[in-house]
Amino acid sequence: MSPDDRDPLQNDDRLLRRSLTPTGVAAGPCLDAETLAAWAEGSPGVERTDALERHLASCARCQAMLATFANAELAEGVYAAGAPSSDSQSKVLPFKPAFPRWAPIALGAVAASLVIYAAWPRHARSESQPPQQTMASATPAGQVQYPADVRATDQLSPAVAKTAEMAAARQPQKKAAAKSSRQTPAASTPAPVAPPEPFRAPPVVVPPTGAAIAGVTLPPPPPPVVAPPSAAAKPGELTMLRGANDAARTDASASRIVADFASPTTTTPAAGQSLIGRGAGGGGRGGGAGALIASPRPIARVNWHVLASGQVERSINGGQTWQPVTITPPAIMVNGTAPSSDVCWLIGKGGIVMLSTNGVTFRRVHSPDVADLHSITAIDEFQATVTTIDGRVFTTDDGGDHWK
Amino acid sequence: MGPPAGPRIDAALLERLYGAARADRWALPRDAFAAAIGASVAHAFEDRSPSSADIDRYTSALHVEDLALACACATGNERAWEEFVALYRPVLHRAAHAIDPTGNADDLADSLYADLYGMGDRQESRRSLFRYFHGRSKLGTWLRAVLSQRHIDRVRATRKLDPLPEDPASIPALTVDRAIDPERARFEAAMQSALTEAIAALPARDRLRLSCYYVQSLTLAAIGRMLKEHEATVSRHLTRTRAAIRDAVWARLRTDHGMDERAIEECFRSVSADAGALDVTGLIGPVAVRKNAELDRSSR
Repeated sequence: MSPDDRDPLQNDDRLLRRSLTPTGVAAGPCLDAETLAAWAEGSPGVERTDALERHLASCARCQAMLATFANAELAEGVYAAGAPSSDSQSKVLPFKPAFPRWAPIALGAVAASLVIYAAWPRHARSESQPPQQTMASATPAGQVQYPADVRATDQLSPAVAKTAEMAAARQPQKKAAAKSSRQTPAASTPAPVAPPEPFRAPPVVVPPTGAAIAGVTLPPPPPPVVAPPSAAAKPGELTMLRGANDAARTDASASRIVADFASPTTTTPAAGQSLIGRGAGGGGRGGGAGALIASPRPIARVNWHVLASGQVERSINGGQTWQPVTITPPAIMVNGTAPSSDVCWLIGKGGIVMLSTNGVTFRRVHSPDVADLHSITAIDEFQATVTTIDGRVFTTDDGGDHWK
Repeated sequence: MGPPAGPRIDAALLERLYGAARADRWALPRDAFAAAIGASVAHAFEDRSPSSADIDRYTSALHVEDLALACACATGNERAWEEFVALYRPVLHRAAHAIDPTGNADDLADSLYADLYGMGDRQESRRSLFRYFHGRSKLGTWLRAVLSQRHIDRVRATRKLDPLPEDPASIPALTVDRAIDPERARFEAAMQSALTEAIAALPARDRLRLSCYYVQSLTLAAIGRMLKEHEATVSRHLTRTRAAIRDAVWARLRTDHGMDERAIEECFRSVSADAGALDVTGLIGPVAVRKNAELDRSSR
């Protein structure tokens, strides 16, 4: 056993908790409410702080009162952070996104553009493609043209940069495959008016699973509708509750929420129609957006809450109703991200990482580290990047089996 | 507010505080305000005799506006009550819902209202809960602290009446058959003793930080907010404290219990594999479950 391994608390802190749990009567008087409040505020009116902390460390009642008070303060801080309040001390947000707020929007827009590009019939695309696209545009080779600010991964946070690098590493393969399988007129060249012809789905890249069916003839689909990310909750983005967005939230659970995120709105083929395979659209290993040739049917965005208690709630009706999510083995969750309506990653204390691939049940995956995790970004069920509380970044591309 | 007691407060200082508190908004009688300030000073200095400078320094840090509002409410001033309700009702109810998510939040908040108003004996003099507010903290923070205190007292009172759990699933399963580990009792006693001594030797703040994290399940952010530390600092302190405990336990097992390296390793393995009687999963709740999950992970 190495010195670092000789920690009886390393794998199991029940011993520590038992030794810490106050059992006897603590020395000194218990805290009254005002002393606790003044101490928590750091008021100069509180003297003998050492004695107070000694008492708190050994009195079960006062410790429980402190914990309850701290949770109430935290919940109040989260709720009122953006709203004017009589209590200007309410300012703490437990966890902040470790990446720019626009980054998930940009990535979501790129993914949405790829879905449109892959699903749109060639002739229709040549007719209707706008001369300019703000976030991303398709090039003749099916390559995604990222705007400069999206490609400049060195300007992103470490977590997003790593994720973007992983996605970029896969681009050459997709690019080569797409180039060999189809030719598309240049986006900037005015497209000739194509003669009416039955819609023929573009040949697609055969995914590793070999499940694709190419060249299926179907009527042209209506234009796919991809909902823009809403202001309240961007796809896949972790958003802290702030006053402006939550002014309308009146349910009791709102004040207990520490993380709120939603899956992106996406599309799926209607019943009886076929998914022809995975196009050039991103999404990574097996998890990319499918190239749809059937009428796309919007899938409701799934919203998630991580409550201050560590529990998780899920809504499939835009936040009208929330259902608690059972996590087995139970764990205290602190944050999460949902790259799609079925996939949700959750992180918790002690490096816990949970993954759901059906949006309902979660399984524990390997932890990158025993340190508390701070934030997570994910592209799909395989690729995710977590940041520990002390700023270290770990990435997986195999669904959490391995982290580096 | 209680009568002025203890140290005498300069009239000029009282007048200055009265102006700073904008107590004239409520037409608060000066003697009532002076009584509130006097009670605050007396409570802060208890049996000591503060100098004028001490009093001046102390009162300059008071939240006198909040104190004046509380004082006016305690005297039954209607406009003050309207102001209080407008400002602090949302605070109270949000705090109550955060504290008690089981559906009793409104009861908790409403019961506090009644006591703040002094509903108990309105026949003669109303005994408002505001008399315990001395302006040392913001009124909103004090209200949350009072709610927390009441909630904990309620829970503790209720827990004494709760029956023991009958659900077998709630009883943690042992991961090791005790019968095959005859040394376990000795190891457990030695480890518990060493651990208790190691923790007792820690500074109070370190013990408090550990308790908040491991016993009370507070997040690093919440602990940091209470202890005025950044959450990363809290994390570093926890890591350092754990290392200190580990070293102290190691040393005590060797010196006090005469164990050699091999015995200590066996002791750690035995106790870590099965906390047995030391397991407080049922009492601690989510934290224990979380750590059990970590145990599962480490055994994978």
